[in-house]
Amino acid sequence: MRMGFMAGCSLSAYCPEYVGKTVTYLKSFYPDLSVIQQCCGKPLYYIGEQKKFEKKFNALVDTIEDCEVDEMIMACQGCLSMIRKTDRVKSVSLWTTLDQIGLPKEAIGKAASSDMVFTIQDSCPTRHETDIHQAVIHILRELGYTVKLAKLSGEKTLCCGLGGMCGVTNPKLAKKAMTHRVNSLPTKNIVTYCASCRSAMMNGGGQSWHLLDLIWGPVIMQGDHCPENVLNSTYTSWKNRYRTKRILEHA
Amino acid sequence: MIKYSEETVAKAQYIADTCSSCRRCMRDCMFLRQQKKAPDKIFGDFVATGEIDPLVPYSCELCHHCTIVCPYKLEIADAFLAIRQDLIVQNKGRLPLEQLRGVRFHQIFSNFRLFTYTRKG
Repeated sequence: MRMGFMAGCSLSAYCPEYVGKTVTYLKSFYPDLSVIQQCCGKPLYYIGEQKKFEKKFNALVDTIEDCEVDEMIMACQGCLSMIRKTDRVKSVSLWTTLDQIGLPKEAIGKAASSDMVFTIQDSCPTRHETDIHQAVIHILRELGYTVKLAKLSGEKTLCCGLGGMCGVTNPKLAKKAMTHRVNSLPTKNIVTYCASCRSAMMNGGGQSWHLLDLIWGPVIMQGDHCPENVLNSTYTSWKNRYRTKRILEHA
Repeated sequence: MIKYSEETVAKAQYIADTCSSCRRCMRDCMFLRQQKKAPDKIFGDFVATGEIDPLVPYSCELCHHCTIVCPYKLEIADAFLAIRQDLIVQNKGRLPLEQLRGVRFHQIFSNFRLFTYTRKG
């Protein structure tokens, strides 16, 4: 099967190196992996610019078809929820894919001696996709971490505060939602699998790691600080998106 | 005055008529809590007056948590999205909220070759 991969905008803006490592790893399973980095247009969909959204979204679908991809592996739940709106593309989550093919050997059990207890902030666009929630829990346990789930998680998850472009339209309310979400979780050490959620959990007062931080990065212990909140800087975000492109060119 | 589409008004009317005002959706949603009224009243007022402050539909996080906890699974986010779509069309290209300029700018920037990449496998 010919597979494709798309990291999405926020993850590329957050950590170019981990996007590169993920592509290299996926290529060891899918040697003819196509790599696409193009916005799905969800922000336009969210603000109600339906015509502009359709144009942008169809451009992405055309690119995927040009690459003759049978199935797209999506790292972003926002992109995934959009791509599932069309019958023209088959799609799968990166997290269920990683769970299925297995983590890199060196990652399995690497955190077995860690005393860290993580909770999970599930992404709201995929609240109905229980297989993704299960895969994320399984990956964390495979790494060796202890997981304590929130009451409102999985299908019942709460938005991180940035959904619906609320962070742009009503930043004060978004901040309240972020704080509320962090306070509703059983621990302030929060794992996300969405780069925007990670940023929101930090802005809400939590310590937050993206799942790729834990797969590719160092083992985390109680009291460790999470990586800096790069998405709070517009300049760094765009610079990273460019760096992601450069890394992908050489991956 | 904005003329909302029949579909949008029908969605709002359905919520106004069906919401039992149980307020389960308001428990954990900061946006709905801030409105200080249950969805039946929010959408009832909208249908009755034909008006709504654009900041209201544009503050919903469109996360659908309300639908999950609603006894009738009312699609409140879909109704707010429909209002957003009407606001964009009816405003003839002018954005209903100044803050949305940033989203347009972001989306134009996203198209630049500096940030896009395709490699066929």
